[in-house]
Order: sequence, then C-alpha cells, then structure tokens
Amino acid sequence: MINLESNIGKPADDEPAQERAILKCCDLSMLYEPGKGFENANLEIFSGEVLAIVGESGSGKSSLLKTLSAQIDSQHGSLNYFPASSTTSLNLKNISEAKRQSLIRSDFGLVHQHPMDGLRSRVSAGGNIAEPLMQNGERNYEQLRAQALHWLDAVEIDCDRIDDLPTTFSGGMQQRLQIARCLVTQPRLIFMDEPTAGLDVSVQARLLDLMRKLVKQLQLSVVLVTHDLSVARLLSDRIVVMQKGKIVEAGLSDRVLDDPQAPYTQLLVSSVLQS
Amino acid sequence: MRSVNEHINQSAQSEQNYNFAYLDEQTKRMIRRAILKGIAIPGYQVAFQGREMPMPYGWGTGGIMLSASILGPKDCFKVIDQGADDTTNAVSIRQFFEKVCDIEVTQKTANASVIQTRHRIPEHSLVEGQILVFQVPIPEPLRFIEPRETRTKKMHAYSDYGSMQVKLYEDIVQYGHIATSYAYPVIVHGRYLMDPSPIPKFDNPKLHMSPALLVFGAGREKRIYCIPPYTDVKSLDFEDHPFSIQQWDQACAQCGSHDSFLDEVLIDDQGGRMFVCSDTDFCQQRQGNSND
Amino acid sequence: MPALLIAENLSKTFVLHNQNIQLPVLYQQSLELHAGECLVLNGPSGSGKSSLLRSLYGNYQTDSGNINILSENSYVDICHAHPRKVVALRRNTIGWVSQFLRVIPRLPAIEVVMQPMLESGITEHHARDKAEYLLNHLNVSQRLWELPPATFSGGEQQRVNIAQGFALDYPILLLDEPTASLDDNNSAKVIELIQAAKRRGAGIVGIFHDAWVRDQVADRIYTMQAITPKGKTRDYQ
Repeated sequence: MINLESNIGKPADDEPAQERAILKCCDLSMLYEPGKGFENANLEIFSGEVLAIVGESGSGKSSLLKTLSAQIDSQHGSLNYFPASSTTSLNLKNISEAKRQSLIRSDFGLVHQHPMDGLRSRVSAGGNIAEPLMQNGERNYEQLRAQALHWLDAVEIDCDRIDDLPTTFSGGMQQRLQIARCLVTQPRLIFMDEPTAGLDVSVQARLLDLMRKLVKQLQLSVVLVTHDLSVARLLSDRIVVMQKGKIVEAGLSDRVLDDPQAPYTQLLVSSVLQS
Repeated sequence: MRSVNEHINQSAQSEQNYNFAYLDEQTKRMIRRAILKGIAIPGYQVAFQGREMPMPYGWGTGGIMLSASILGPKDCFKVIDQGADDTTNAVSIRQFFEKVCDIEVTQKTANASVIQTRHRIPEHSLVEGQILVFQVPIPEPLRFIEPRETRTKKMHAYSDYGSMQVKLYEDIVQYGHIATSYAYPVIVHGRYLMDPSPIPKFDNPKLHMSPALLVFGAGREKRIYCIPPYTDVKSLDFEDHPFSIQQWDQACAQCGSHDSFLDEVLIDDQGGRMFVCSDTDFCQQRQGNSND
Repeated sequence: MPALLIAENLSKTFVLHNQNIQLPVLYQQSLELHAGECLVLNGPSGSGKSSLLRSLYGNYQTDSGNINILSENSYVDICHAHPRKVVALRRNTIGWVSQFLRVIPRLPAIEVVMQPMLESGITEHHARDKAEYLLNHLNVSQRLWELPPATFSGGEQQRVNIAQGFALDYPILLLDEPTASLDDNNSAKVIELIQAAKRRGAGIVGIFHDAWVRDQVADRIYTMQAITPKGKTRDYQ
C-alpha cells in the first residue's frame, strides 16, 4: 500500500549545489519582537538567478531582504558574501561600516518599492542615473552623459527626457528610472522590494518584461520580494515562501507554485485569482 | 607692553565690567579646543557650544565668537564685509571688538593679524601668522542635496561625495557650464568636503596652500571648521569642465586693476555703471591712498 | 546506448492540508526512455499521466523514487537534485511542450520562440532563422510574428508554444498533449516535428489525446491505471 506519511514536505533541494553561491546565510535571525522579523533563515543565492521571496505582509520578507542586502543587522546566524574578485568570503556580520558602504556601492543594487525612495526628486533623470558613477569616482561629464543616455534607452525612457526631473515622470517611468540608476554601476546582486506594487496592470506588465529582459541580458542575480505570485512565476528561478518570519517552503519556482507542499503555500497558491 | 591681566582689569573697568573680548574665559577655551580639533582634522565640522551674542544670527555671530576666542591684547584686527571695511556690518563688528578688547584695529590687510571676513578673501596675499575668520551661514555643503543631518554625517564619514558632484552636473545641464559662483564646494586635504562660506569662487584658489590659518564659524548651527596653513584645497569639477574663476572684460574704474574681484556699481538713473574692486583696502592702496 | 531517462518506483500523493484531503496519483511507476524513441503515456483521465510527465520535468515533487536523467555522460536524479541543477537540466537536456502558453507580456511571438535559443547562447541571427522556420512550418501567419501572442487565438498560441518547445534540440522532450485543439492539418505538422526529433536521436515522452496522432508517433505505450480511490481519507492530521 501507499505510505502516505513518507517524505511529505521533503525539500527538493536537499542535495548541495555544485557551484559557489554569491550570498549565503545560515540560521539568520532578526526578531524585533516575537513574531516580528524573521528567524532561522537558510538561503543561498547563485550567480545569474532570480530568487523570489514571497509571503503576505508581515511575514518578515522585507526584513529578510534588508538584512541580506546589509542594510540592517541581524541577531543570530551567519551571512557571507563571495566577491567576484576573491576566493574568500566576506562575513557581512562583522564587516566595518566603511567596507560595508563600499561593498553596497560597488556590488549591490537596491530597488525600492516607491521609486522616489531611490531617486533624488530635485535632480534630473540623467543626474539620478549618473550619481552612482560619480560616487564611484567618474569625473568626466561627457562620459556621464553617455552612460545616462545608454541606461535611459535600456529602460525604455525617451532620451529627450534626460534633463527632466523625475517628479514629472509617471509612476512606471519613475520605477524604470530607479532601475536604470541601480544598474548603471553594474552591480552583481540586486535586491528588489515589491518593485511592481502600486503600478497599473499594463505598466506592471511592461516593467516585468523589461526586468526579465535585463536580468537575462546582464546575467544579474536578483533577490526579489513580492507578494504577487504571478510576478514570482514570471521572473524567478527559485521561490522562498515565508510565513510568520519563517521559511516554510523553498524550491524551483514552478514546482513551488504548481505542487506546493506546505499548508501555507497551498493556501497562498489557491488564493490567487486566475485570469 | 601690558600683561593680559592688567589689560583685562583695565578694559573691565573702562567697559562696564565686560570680560576681555566679551566672552568668558571658559567659553573661549571651549571654542579654542574646537578650533584645535578643526585644525587637526582639516575641513571637518566640529560642533561647539555657541553663546548668545549681542546681535542676531546672520550678522556674523559665528565669526565673532571665533574672533573673540582668538584675539589677544597684542592683535591687530580687521573686519571686511563683501570686501569692504566701511560697510555697516564691518564697522559695527570692528567697533564691538575695539570696545570689548581695546585692541588695535586696521583696514590694511598687511597690518592685521586677525581678519574677520564675510563673502571675500582679501586680494592682498596673506602671510604666515595671519588668521582669517570666516562668517558662515550654512556650514553643511551637502545640505541642499541631503537635508537629513544623520545622512550627511555618514556621507562625510564615508567620503560619499558623488551627490555633490551631481549639483555641478545639474549646473552644466541647465547652463552649459558650472554656474555655481559662490560657496563653491572644495575638498580639503583630499578628504573632507567643505563649504568655503559664501565667498565667490574667484577666491577659491586662495584657499589652496594658504600660508594663513583659515577658520570658519557658523553661529546659528554652532559648527567650526578650519584649513591649517599650507593645506591642499581642491575645488570640485569635471575633467571636461574644469574649475575656473570669474573674469571681467573691464579693469577697476578706480585703480585700473585687471586681476581683482570687481563689483558692478550703478552710478546714475540712466543705466550708467562702473566696475570697481570689491576689496576697498586693495583698491585704495593701489590708488596711493592710506586709510590709517 | 544508455537510457536517456530512467524512472524508478515513483509514488506521489497530493496532500491538501487546508482541505484535509490526500489524493494518491502515482504508485510505484517505473519507466525507461531511449534515444530515438517516443514513449506514449496512455490511460484514462485521472490515471496520473500528466502528473507523471510533470514529475519527469521536476515540476511535481514525488514522494519516493528516482528519476535519473542522462546529462553529460552521467545521471542526475531530478527528484533530489538542487533546483539550480534542475534549471541547468531544463536549459540543456529536457524540453517541455505543453498545450498552454505562459505568455510573457509584450514579447512578440517570434521572440517567444527565440527565447530558449538566445538563453542557451545561440546567436540572434541563427535563432531568428530557426524561429522563422518553425513558425512557418506550423502555419503561424507571418503577420502575427511581431505581435505578442496574448491576443492570439488558442490554436495560434499553442503553435507558438510548440515552436518554442522545438526550438532547441533537447535530448529529451516531454510533450503534454501538444496537438489538443489543433486541426488535423496542423497536428500533422506537429507529427512531422516529432518524427524529425526522433530521427536526430531525441527521446520523447508524450501524452496524446488523439488516437491517430498517438498511433503515428508512438514506439511504445506506457499504460497507466487510476489508483483505487482512497482520497477523502479523514485520518490525516
């Protein structure tokens, strides 16, 4: 007879991957108070993949993203980054503030949910894109202009808008501008927090398509926080499902969505409106 | 030569028992410590405990507190406002210190040991031993880019100055050249970004390797910062839009100078105008006059 | 010649926690697939054909058993491989053609077909040539090529999807009712593609609704039976 109890909920990724991760956390915890934040997170992010963290609001996914991107500290566990240039890993937990800043500036990219959180409202679109380059020491105006034009084009913003303020842009354009600003330094790892939330459906589709294209073209590694399962399905290779601060399921995106194992994931998947 | 004590006693008697240079000795020591710290970390903004001065903020209280802490009985003091010794602000500050210090004052740059200034650096080259005290309205050069002090402090800590460059970038976008013409940001000693107070960028090159000690005081925000003598001071720019200073087609209408900072002065109701040196002492010296 | 795919003792039960239901779908299924053959999964509806096929692709997670897939001269067990490894297998080794197109917004049909080729490093030029060939072959009107398939009819979408599935010469192809809702003429075009894939040595596992299609492509039939319904057991906690 069938053994109904065997292997239920067994994770598919019980065999270690052969390749080296870019970012790895073990038993990482950050609880602001019981039930707020996340605990015992184990994750690896590999080169050229998109990892989606899904879960409802309050599940701790944004806190996890902030910790992974070294914006906030954690209480327990380890968090290691593996720089491209070095064979040894960088422990992000006891890294000096100066080193942390320079790492974020050179290797990480952040895309906020609200585009104006990641843009300067009183600086032109071109200036917004060029700023990270200036931060990294670029001092040639023509070079900066050329880069700004290149990235405006890459995110499908009309080059004529280069000298306009982002406040004159639509929400979708602002979000694309933020992505351009984030990509201009060619980071290895990008963290996105609900990048499509708050946009019209048609604008969302365009942005998703653009992101998918850029991720493939530039071989980016992305950690994407979203509550929208269709966004996760479209963009991500792997999905991590969070509930009440804990990772309840992880695996290949289509496997998690088509054959969810954890009760919470099943609830989440069955709650999605079919179009 | 009188001793400090004698001097203090005497001025205290003659001036309604004010302490020498108005401020009490503890306050002056506190400010001197802040200045020393500022000298030790060129371009870094040192917080200090500002005192109420007998004039409103914006009239140079920061500079006055610094001058009061620096001045000794043997000093010779000069005050300029927009380059001129005879404007209201300059005259009243000079008279204030004459009154509370009973020290020698001058209009000649060369004779002064301490010069308090607003908006200019004298044309006459400063020499070792001189101290230039700047009145600073807003000490934080990053203020207009990042209003949060918590952020700007971090930006300084990590030399995160790309955004300052953004301001110059925006200038070129709007005007085709770097249009910032005063309070032009500089990097001091290759480390800290500094607002040189609202001096014209014409004066920025004088900050570089200055033989005189340059101290900056912001009264409202209670910050002191310094450029020690012979310090590298670089004005921000782009490779293809290098830093440059203002130039005029005219010479000074009074002294004929070609290489000083000129003010445009309206002289009648018909739109007549002339250009004259903003540094009155410099101009008069060239004309062969003496003020003293 | 070693088998391309060896599945052993696959069992799977859906556990629907929130409804307190267990649905056994696969029990001790084993099969082998060799180069150049087409294995057709056959059985009544509800017999687990689709679940088995999805398990072979790593889309469903089995409760027990192994699926060993030949990749670069060694076998990888897709049931227990790291997701990264599964992604790699899907890029180079196993192709999937379903009847439903997962539409990517705004992407023109021709680029939908080119996508897997570009991702595996084929030049844009060659990818476009092959995409055009496939779309032509499947009678997708040229005026549709530059349009996003979201607005296409069901049959047109399906043919775009099949073109995408056959774009790369995967050693293993999994076909989930590729000819459902296609007319006979277009089904015949798909059969031609399947025959061509077999000739180049691909192993194919497929589910075919139409008996005449099945008869044309099948080398072997794998017959499946529905598991005696044991569902709606309420004893699971």
